[in-house]
Formats: sequence, C-alpha cells, structure tokens
Amino acid sequence: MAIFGVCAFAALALERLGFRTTVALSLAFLLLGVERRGLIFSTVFAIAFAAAAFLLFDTFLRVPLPRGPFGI
Amino acid sequence: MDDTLQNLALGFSIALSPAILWYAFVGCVVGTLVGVLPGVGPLAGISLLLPATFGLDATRAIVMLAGIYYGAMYGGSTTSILMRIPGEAASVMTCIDGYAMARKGRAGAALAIAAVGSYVAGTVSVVALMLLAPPLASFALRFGPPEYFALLLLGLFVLAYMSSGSMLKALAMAALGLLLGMIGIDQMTGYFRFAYGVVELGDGIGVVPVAVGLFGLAEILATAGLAVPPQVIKPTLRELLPTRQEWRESAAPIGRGTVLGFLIGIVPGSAHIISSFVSYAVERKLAKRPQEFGQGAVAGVAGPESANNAATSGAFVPMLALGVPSGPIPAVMLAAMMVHGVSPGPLLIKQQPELFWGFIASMYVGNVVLLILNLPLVGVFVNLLRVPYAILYPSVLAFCILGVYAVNGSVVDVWIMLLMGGLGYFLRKLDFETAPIVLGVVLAPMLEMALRQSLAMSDGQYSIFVARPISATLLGVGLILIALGLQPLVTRGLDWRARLALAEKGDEHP
Repeated sequence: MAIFGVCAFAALALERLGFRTTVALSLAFLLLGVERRGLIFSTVFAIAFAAAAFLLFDTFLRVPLPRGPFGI
Repeated sequence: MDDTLQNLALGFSIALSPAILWYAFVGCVVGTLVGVLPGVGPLAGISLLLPATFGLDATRAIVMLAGIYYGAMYGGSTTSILMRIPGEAASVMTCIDGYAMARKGRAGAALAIAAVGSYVAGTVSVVALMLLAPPLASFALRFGPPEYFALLLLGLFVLAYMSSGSMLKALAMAALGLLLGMIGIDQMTGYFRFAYGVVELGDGIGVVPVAVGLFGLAEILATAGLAVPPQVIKPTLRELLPTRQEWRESAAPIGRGTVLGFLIGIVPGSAHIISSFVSYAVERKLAKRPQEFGQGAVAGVAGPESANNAATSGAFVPMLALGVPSGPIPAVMLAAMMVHGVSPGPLLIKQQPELFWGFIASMYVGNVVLLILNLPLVGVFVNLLRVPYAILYPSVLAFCILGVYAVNGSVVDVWIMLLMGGLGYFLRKLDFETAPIVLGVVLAPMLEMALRQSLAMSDGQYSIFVARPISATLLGVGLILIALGLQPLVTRGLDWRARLALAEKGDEHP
C-alpha cells in the first residue's frame, strides 16, 4: 500500500518538484517510514541515489529528466 | 553459404569494433545483474533500460538490449544454484538439482556446467538463427496482410496453448492486452478512441509502462512483504572445475537442451520457461538413474540451462525475420527497435545488413563475454545478494519510475504503470498469467492494421482469409490448437499444462 502511495506521489510530483527532489523524498519515505532504517543512512542513501541516477541518465546518457524550481 | 560467410565477416567487423564491443559488454554485465537480483526479471530489466539507449544509434542500442536479455538468462542460474531462488522464471528447474549439488559441495561445478552449457547452447543456436532467419525472411516477403493477420492470430493461440495454467485465462489476458492496445488514434481514420479527453492517450498505451507495471512493480508489491534473508552458499574458485565424469554426464544433455530450446524458442509462447521444463522432463526420462534427479544430478542442471539459453536465440528468429514477436521480451525489444527507427520484418535483413549481421556477430561475442564474466566473477555477483531487500526494492522502484517516465517524458505513463502494477498484483493472486497482456498490447496495432488492410483488399469479404493458402493453413493450425486446448475440458484429465502449473507452484514455495 505504501509502495502504491509512493508511486502516486511520484507521478504527481515528478514534473512539479523535479526528478531529484521527488526521488530523494520517495526513497527517504520508504526507507525511514516503511523499513525503519536509520535516519542518517536513509537521508544519505536517498540523496546520493537521486543525484547519481540523475547524473547517469540526464548528464551522461542525455535522457531529459524534469528539473524542479530553482533548477534542482 | 558463401553469402552467409561474407555477411558474417561484415557482422564481425562491426561487432568487434571497440564501441559495439563495449556496449555488448555493458549489456552483458547489466543483464547478469538483472538476472541475479530477484524481483527484476529480464522483461522489466529491458524495459527499464530502454531509455538509457535513446542516446545511442540503433545497432548499439539493440546489441546492448540483446546483451541484457541473454545476460539475464545466465545470471538467473547463479541465484538458483546458490540460493534456490530463481532470479527469473526460466531458472526454476535449475533450482532443484543445482541447489542439491550446491549442498553437496559441488556449487562451483554446477555453476561451471550451467555457464558452459549456456555458452554452447547460445553459440550453436546463434548459428541456427543465422542460417534460418534469412530464408524465412525471403519466404515471408510473399506475405500480404491476410497472411500476417493469420500469423499474428496463430501466435496468440500458441501462446495461450503453451502458457502454464488455464488456456482460457491466458486467452482472456491476451484479449485484455488487445483491448488496451486499441486505445489511441485509429491508424486508418485518425479518430480518437477510448481516450476520454486525455490527449496523451492518443498515442496509445505504450508497451514499456505496461511491461514495467505488470512485471516490475507487481513483483515488488508481491515480494516486499515476505523478504526472508536468504542463505547463500559461497563457492570457492578451486571448486569451479567439474570432474571428468560430470563433464561426460552433462555433454549429451547440453546437446539435447540446445536443440529443444531452439525449436521451442521459435514457437511463440513463454519459451524459456517451457523449454527448461521440457528439457528437464526429457533428461529425467532418458537418465540411467532417474532417482538421482532432485538429489543433484548434473544432467538436471546442464539440460534446462542450455535449453533456456537456446530459446533466447530461437525467439529472435520470428522477431528478426518476420517482425512478429514470439513472447513479451522480444515484444519489448521490437518496440525498442521501432523507437530507434528500425522496422523489423522481412525487409530488415536486406535493407539494413549492418544491423542484422552486426547483431548476430555480437551475439557470438556476447556469449564469450558472458562465459568469461560468469565463471571467475561469480563471487562478486553473489555479494550483491547481501544487499538487504529493504534497500533494494526502493531503488528498483525509483528506476521503474525513471525508466517509464523517460521513454516519452510523460507522467501519464507513470500512472499507467501504477495501474498496471496494481492489476498485475491482483491477477497474480488469482493465478492469471500476465505475459499475454504485454504481447496483446504489442500485437494489437499490427493485428488491426493487417485485418483492415486485408478487408480493404477484399472489399470487406472475410473469405479472403480462407481463400489464400498460407493464411488458411495458419488459421487451421490455430483452430487445431484451440481444439487441443479444449480437450481436457472434455476428458477431464490433468493435461501437461496443469501439471506444469502445479510443479511450478510447488517449486516456488519450497
């Protein structure tokens, strides 16, 4: 159920908040709220994953991903 | 024959160029990862990585996607041998004897035999693919719309007949897929159908969101609840060499598995799964000591593993020669080729020889890469399984969203994936197979085009389908298959499909 919710959130937020923010928030929610991982680990993992995926696809593979306000 | 060799030389000159070699290598590595990780099958893997190939040209993209496909087939065997978890469905049979061997301390040998068997099967069946596809394509040049229509219809019937479980359920799923495929702009008249005012639906429902939803998301939903820490048996490098007797015992099953797998692969349907089941059954029948099966018989690893890899190449025959996908994975690859502006079909081999022969040659290369990659690096891949599922699935989920969004840059696709994920989860609970839906979505526009063109040719006379010999034959075969499928309803016996479904269930919950 939570997974479903996250997907719906992602679909809504993807073009409004931008890719990196959306993915980082979704991951942080799943890791912290659902899987009860540590706060520091979850935050670092979520942000690192979002940044790395963006770098890989948008920057290296030139697949356009949405940017949110303030260009993030 | 001379032509073939010449063409092959052209192919190798392309496949061995550093750039293509690199993409084949990347594809194989990614494919192995996809195969090793439970919950990401080859179908979801290919769909997810489709956007990553958009920046490449067509040949590179297809070489890479094919690498992912057969890489996943290799990778799946690793987890089933070491942990009794099939990384993908086709490795279910390998689990039984592979894991038994691993418990006896022969994990290394089982892995080596699986890898060598896959290698032999892969290479031999590529040769067969190479020899078979061009003649088939030139034969298919005589096909008009009515023949295509009959062929596509036959494909759906065979799929329904071959799928494990009820034929009725499989046909129902195929029909659902066809209906979903109807959504969008009518190709003949430009009329919007079933779009309900959503402009994005005008393009129709794409294969990728449907495939990722049904296979990726539904899988995550199904397994997220029951993440049990799996036990990993770690092989040491020294154990990798099988004994001479093990080699001898596996040689014949590898040969038989290759032939069987290739033949089954050509026929539409969930080829890999069926081919490994059939091969296992055959080996058991032919074995001198059938009681050893289940206790770690080498033949029980060698046969099915070879069969599922041979089926991979077999599945490319109708895809490349006819432009007709024989299962959900070739269907997604077909969609990928279309994205890159390549239209597969009888003309592909003539018009774009670099692509076709480069692809063939890259499959030879890819098989070698995989053999090298899999044997010494097994330990590395196994370590990946230490990553807890709690971290793995959110990451996979993020990739699902990314992959689906990036194909068209459309949020509507993400919603479609979400709906399909929910649908796939429930259908799975109800024992429906979801593969025919994906196939239906891909086939719907082709089928519709063929039907309407034929009817335009004949001024609306349906008799055109029976009046032409090839299409009449194809339709006849389809009818026979349906009749065969209905037979157990009459005789009330468990046919082999039902038994297969039972066996599969038994294996999935040990």
